[in-house]
Amino acid sequence: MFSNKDIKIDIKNLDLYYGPVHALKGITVSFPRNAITALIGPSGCGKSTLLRCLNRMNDLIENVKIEGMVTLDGEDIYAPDVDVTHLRKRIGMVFQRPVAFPLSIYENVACAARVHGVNDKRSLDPIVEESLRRVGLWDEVKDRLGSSALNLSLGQQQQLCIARVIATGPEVILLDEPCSALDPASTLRIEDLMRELEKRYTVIIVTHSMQQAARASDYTIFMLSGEIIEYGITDDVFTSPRDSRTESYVTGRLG
Amino acid sequence: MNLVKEEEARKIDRYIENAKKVNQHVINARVTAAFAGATALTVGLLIFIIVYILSRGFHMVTPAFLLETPRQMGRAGGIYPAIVGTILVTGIAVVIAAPVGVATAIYLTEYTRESWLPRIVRFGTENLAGIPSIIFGLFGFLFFVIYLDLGWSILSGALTLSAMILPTIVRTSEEAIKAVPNAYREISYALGSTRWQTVTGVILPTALPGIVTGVVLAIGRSIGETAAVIFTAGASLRLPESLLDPVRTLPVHFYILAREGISMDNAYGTAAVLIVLILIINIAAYSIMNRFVAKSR
Repeated sequence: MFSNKDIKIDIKNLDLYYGPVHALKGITVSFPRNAITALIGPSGCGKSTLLRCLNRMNDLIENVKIEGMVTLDGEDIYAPDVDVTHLRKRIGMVFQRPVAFPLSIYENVACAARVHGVNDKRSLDPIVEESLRRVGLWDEVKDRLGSSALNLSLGQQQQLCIARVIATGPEVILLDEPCSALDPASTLRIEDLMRELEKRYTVIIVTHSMQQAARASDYTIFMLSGEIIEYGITDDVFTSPRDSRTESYVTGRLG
Repeated sequence: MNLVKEEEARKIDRYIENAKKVNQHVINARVTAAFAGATALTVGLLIFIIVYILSRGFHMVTPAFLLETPRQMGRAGGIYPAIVGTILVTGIAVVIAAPVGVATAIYLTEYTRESWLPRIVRFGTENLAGIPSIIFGLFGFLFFVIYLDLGWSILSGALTLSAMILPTIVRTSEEAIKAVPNAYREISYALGSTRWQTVTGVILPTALPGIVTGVVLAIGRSIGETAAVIFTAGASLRLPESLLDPVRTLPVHFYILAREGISMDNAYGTAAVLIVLILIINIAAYSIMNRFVAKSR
């Protein structure tokens, strides 16, 4: 579907086992650069697990065995000499629940840059401002950067979490059901934000909302029981699915 | 026919509902009263002990009492050497035990996966925490005083106390660290932090209040310790000149004054000083912590 130049992340024959459970089966798929790809499927289909393979968050879990190949710009991210902390700087992740640290708004963003060695205020200030601008939060919080981030609304906190990821300077942003804890207005705000983000970053989103995938993604991957059933341009997947299981899912008859 | 049955059923439902309501209200009121009573008893007992000791001893506490050395076995003079001895023994014990204990807790929670090692260490520390302090005193006497030939000294006493409070610090720190939300760890690692960055940047600042509470508990336990200290630090009334000199701590001084019937007035004066000292240390520890927490937020 794409030429090599357009592929940011490429997965070949990926298998993942949680102990005896075969959670991902022979996944082969590629994620195009500067586009939004949505991972959809019923609960437990492996979409979050697949997302967590991309920044090696599964390393933190016991008894996980991964086989196959994942490349970022052609480099194997599971190669033995890969620095995982650097990989996670390049591939940032936003979680389901917006969790701001009990710190100031400023510190919540600055701490991410500090992780990667930026320490003096003169370098931090522009990073914090630019990160907050890119998530559209700057104008709302610029006068109270020192106040606690916990006073922000949930939607704002999720924006802050995305700003925190941006502050590390990533190339890919992974979103793991970022709107499941948010109200509809905040959800739309995050979706608009994703459209802004795709200009600079490769965005991959796991969502249980088919409307969200249909509205806010360029490509859609449909998963079932650890396998990829269908992959294509979002409009095609939703309007003329090739597989009958995809059709039942997107029309609400499955899952 | 059906209608009558339904009517009856509704009546019975209403009756049960009302019976439930009444019962629940009564139970609720009684339990509230019982809990309030238990709290009142706790607070009352605490206040009674403090007021009793302060009323019997506080009039003894004069600048001279605090700053003079004892005369006639403590019948006259002050308690200055015992204050110095208490602060040194407790201070050194905490300075040794707190870093070791917190490091152990971090290792068990953040650096090992749940397996036999943390379980054995946890089981061991729990048992160690339950051992009577006089056993630690005996161990300290045999190991530090005699085997390592440190003699009855501040150092022997401090090392013994540090062994005694170590389990408490490990356990409380471990609980505090475990209470840090897992989401914080995930976020920190996902941002590309190393384990060390996660520990220092996220885990310790969040767990700090709990860790400080554990250390303050440990200070309280060691500052009031008699049995473990009398075997290891000795009971000398002279002002110590080095860490290898013997010393008499405040609780030991109180114990000897009261037990030998030397001077009940001075004994209660000593107890009053001890209580106030513990209070000052607790307030200082929490205010330092609050300032730190406020700064990091």
